[in-house]
Amino acid sequence: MVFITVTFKKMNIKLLLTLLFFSTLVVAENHVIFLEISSNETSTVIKPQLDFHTSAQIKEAIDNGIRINIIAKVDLYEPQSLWFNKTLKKQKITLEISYFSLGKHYKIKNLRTDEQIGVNEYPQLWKELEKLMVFEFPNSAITSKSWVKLRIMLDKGALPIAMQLPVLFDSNWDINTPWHEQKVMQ
Amino acid sequence: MKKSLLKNTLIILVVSALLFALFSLGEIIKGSQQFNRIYLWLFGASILAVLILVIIITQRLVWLYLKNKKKEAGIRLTTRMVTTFASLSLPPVLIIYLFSTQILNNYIDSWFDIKIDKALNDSLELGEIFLNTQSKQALDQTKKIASQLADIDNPRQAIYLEKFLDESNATSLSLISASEKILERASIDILDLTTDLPPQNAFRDVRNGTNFTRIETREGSLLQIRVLVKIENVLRVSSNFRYLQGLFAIPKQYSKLAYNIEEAAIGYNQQKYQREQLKNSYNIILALVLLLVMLLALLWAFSAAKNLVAPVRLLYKATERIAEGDYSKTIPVTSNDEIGFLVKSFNSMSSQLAASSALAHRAQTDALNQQLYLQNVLSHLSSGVLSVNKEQRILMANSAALKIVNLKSIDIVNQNIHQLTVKNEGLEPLVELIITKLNDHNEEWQQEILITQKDERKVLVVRGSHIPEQEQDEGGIVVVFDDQTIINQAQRDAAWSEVARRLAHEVKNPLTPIQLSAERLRLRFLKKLPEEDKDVLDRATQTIVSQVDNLKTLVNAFSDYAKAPELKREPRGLNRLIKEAVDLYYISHAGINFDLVLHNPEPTMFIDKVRFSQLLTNLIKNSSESAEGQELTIKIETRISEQLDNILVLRFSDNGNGFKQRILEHLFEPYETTKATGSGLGLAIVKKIVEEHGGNIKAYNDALGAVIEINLPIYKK
Repeated sequence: MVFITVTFKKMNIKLLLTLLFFSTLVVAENHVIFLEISSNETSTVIKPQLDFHTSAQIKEAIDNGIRINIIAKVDLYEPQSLWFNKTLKKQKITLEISYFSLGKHYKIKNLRTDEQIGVNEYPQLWKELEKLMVFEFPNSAITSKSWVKLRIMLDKGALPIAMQLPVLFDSNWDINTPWHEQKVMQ
Repeated sequence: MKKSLLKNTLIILVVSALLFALFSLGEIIKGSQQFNRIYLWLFGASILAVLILVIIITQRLVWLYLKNKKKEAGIRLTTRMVTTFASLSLPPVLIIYLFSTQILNNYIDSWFDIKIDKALNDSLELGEIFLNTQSKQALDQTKKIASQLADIDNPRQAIYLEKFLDESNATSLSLISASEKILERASIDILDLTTDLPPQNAFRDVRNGTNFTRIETREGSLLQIRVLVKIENVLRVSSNFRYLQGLFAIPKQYSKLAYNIEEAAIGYNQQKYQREQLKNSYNIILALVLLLVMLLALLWAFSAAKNLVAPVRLLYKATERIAEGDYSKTIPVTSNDEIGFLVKSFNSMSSQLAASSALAHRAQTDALNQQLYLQNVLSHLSSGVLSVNKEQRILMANSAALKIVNLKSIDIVNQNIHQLTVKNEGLEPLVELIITKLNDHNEEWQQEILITQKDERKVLVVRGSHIPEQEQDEGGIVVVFDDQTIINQAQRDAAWSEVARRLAHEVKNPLTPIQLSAERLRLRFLKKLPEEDKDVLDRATQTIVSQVDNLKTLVNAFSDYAKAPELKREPRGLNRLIKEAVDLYYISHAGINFDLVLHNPEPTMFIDKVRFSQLLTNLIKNSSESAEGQELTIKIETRISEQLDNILVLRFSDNGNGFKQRILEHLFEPYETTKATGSGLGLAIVKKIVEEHGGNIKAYNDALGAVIEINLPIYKK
């Protein structure tokens, strides 16, 4: 028991997290490529670059009027050795994707700010997501030890009820990315 | 009780939660958006509740299996009832399920009518045509403004923008630079400061020579047309071109209609897309309901069977205990139905049985006590008692009976009466008498019989009484018998004593006058009579005197026999007395050998020396007289009895002719002798002396000759 504890303490927690990250990366197709972090005098802005793909089933659902909510979650935290991370701030953006048949284009709408953009072509839709995923943290919340992690996930609870159960076990609908972690101050 | 309540409460809670969850699922699927997010949780909770029910049912099924294996009381009935209940409830539920799914599927299919489909598509198309027309008008106007702006140099274009806005239907006009930045904006709503740009692809399309128009929503259900065109740089003042963006609001009434068509079409398409999923969802819920009903039916079947069988099982166990003789068990009455009545009746029967059993037990105890008392009384009776049934089987025999017939160590109860003769042939008279009387059916009878045992003969007075079959199932007789031998002997002894006394008294008195008269006659007439008569008189008187002497001797002997004893007993040994008697006789009878085997140390006896000397003399004399010319050896031995250590056995045996069988029975009676000159009182006096000293005597023959054995009590201080 003592041996296990000592061994665990000696291990680098970051290494463990990295291993965990890569293990999930192998499974999931979508992922966050990079977090573009820029600062001004008062705040730090985080924008993700995504490698995002969806299945034909999702396109079919959107084309048939199903609204799909994509959630982007960002946690600002300080890693703690041998304990859970200390979360400094959290933010979440929910984007609703729908098809506007009269206008014959797709809409992406930020449900919190009502900001929306229209996209004519479906492949373009997922690239446009990045534009609405802008997270801003006050500089006062950020320290030299701060890390940021971000993940994108499908809000299955927002889907029509009849779809929720089938989608739960359908890999075509599994578009969630793993957590992408990055140090705020490089 | 508490455990059961807790379990039932848990089941009720689970079932209630499951019913609520299923109802909610049904409602949610109907479209209650507020429950959208709890659908999966509710579904999970339903599955969990069903799983809990499945676990409960499985646990009960396992319980049923194990109890069946153990063949516990009432478990077969429980199994049968569970099976019956389950098989009765499941078919209708299954039928309802099948019909429900069929109806539901048909109902969902009926939502999607081709006419509605077409109407909606037509409406959508109509809306699109209208909006396309509006878009074309907007594009034309924007293009016209763009061509007019192209004739104006860039710095002044902003000035004319308001003018063109007023002249057109646009709600907003924006000048956008080639680098896609808004340069100037004119809007009819002065408070509207939004500066939203067209999408990236719009600029790309316009740069490539394609005009951009798009219908967009704004402020909820309102629509607008966004147009982007290129302002050609006609004047060539600057190398950069510009974009003109125009926003044209669709009139409110048209917007709303178009929006409604859009929403209806979206809703319809959504339902159409989810058609199969909707069916599946409802089918899953129905399947859950079916499963719930089935599990509840099973649960109810278990519960009902358990409740119904519980009193039956208690009855079964109580019956078992009653069969084992335990009447104390009462079953609690838990219901007022037929089972309750049955339990009440059983309890009543049980208490009645208990009372009856107690009475029976008391009667049995009384009977047993009486039997023990009777056995005790019988065992203390000196009379022998035998009970024989009509099948000639001995039902009862007391210890005295066994003692009298000398079968002490043999168990004769429950054996045939003939077994007595097998064990002892001498008992045949008794057996024959009993069998005869058994068949006679005489009420009461009495008879004296003689039985023999080895060399001993016993006179039994047998009295019998018939036992009627009304009184005892097996009927038969009860026989009481007494050993009359001693009494008879005593009676005979008393009679002989009386005879001897009278004889001595009546005969002794005239003997002296007779003797004196005869002597006087001899003296007076002997000398006077002629010679030939003298001899006759002499012989006659001599004979009279001689016979009178003999008679006197006889009378004296009788007198001795009849005389009441006046014993002078004292503690002393017997060996010396024996030796004196032998010495006395040895001297006078040289031809007799004596073999003395005397116990040493000699036990102390409490005896009258004179009477015992007489006894010894009589016995030696009796033995010596039994030898008829042959050499006689008399063996006298003393030993302690093997059976009783306080008894001295004095044994006289000789090698003479032994006792004649015919007199052996009356050997110790007076006047029983085989000798010509014997008075027949020797052994009678011996027996009398023995009895005076508390002993007993018996005579028999062995291989050598006669044996007389005397048992005498040893003196204890």
